[in-house]
Amino acid sequence: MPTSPTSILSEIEISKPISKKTRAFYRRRLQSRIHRLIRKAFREQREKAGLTQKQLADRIQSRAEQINRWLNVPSNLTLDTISDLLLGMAVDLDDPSTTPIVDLVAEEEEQRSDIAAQTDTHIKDVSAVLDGPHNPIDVQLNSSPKPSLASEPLSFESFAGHARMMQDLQAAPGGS
Amino acid sequence: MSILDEIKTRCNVGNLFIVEPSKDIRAHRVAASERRTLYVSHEIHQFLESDRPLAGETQNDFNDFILNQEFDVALHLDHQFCFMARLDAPSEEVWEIRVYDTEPQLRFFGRFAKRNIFVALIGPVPRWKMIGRYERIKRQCIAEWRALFSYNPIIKGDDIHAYLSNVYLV
Repeated sequence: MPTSPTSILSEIEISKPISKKTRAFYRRRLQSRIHRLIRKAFREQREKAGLTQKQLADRIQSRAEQINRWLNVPSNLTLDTISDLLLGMAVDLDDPSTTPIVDLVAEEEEQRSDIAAQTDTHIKDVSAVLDGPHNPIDVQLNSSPKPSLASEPLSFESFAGHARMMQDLQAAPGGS
Repeated sequence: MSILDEIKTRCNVGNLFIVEPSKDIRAHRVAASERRTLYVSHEIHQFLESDRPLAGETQNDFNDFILNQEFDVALHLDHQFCFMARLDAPSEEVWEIRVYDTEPQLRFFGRFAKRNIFVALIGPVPRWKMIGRYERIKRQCIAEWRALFSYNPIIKGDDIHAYLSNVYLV
């Protein structure tokens, strides 16, 4: 069974130690996020100032091959290395901030219930059209009376939006 | 029956498993329509769900794949640093996923079912075990694919964006 955000929360909130696996996951995740930040900064400096990997290597007295590795795959960079790389690119880290995990879990749960509610509304809307007295199919066949929804047909976008919401709902942890 | 139908059937009988990025606390911020999809064999699934060394690191790297994070990719095996590389010969369409900066580094092997839909069939294989064994692993991967599916990979060629979104070709 996939781990749900709620189970992560319980693992973090309760007083027992956090598992080695979860710590490994989140260490790696932070490495990946820092790597993306450095990579993005390098790309921007390459475009703005023409910075090359060789120039960066020379500036921080490293080897071009090492720079290539650091930029291409996430790794467990030391704070000193991160500082050197950013300085070598002539960029400064903006003040990092943190978000309590409990808030992220609440956000995820709110999003999931919103999607469920919207999906339910769409299903009711579609059912009302199909099952109601003004079924467009009947109207087409009988040509009268004029359907109340005839002037406001359900758009493709509304169906596509519904399909996307269903996708999100199904993709959400715990979704079917 | 489409390849996706076949995958679904294989999932229903427990031959394949879809990887969910649910351990990532921010995964919900990436909409389903923006995600890639990763299916794995029973063996890989067991590894991911286990407490074995490097399971957590691998889970994160797979999550990054699913959540459409940018990564480097190579169309030939000789590129040293990238997350994914296609093995030679390209026409056989066998790819490896590389888990770097771990001891040992790990490798996973599989094929693309469609754009942004990858099926990993073999792994985890420590990198040191791969030396001189690529041909054998490749043959094993193709044999396992054929045992599961009636389709051959339909994406071919050197246009990396036909395989994946948001990647850099190295």
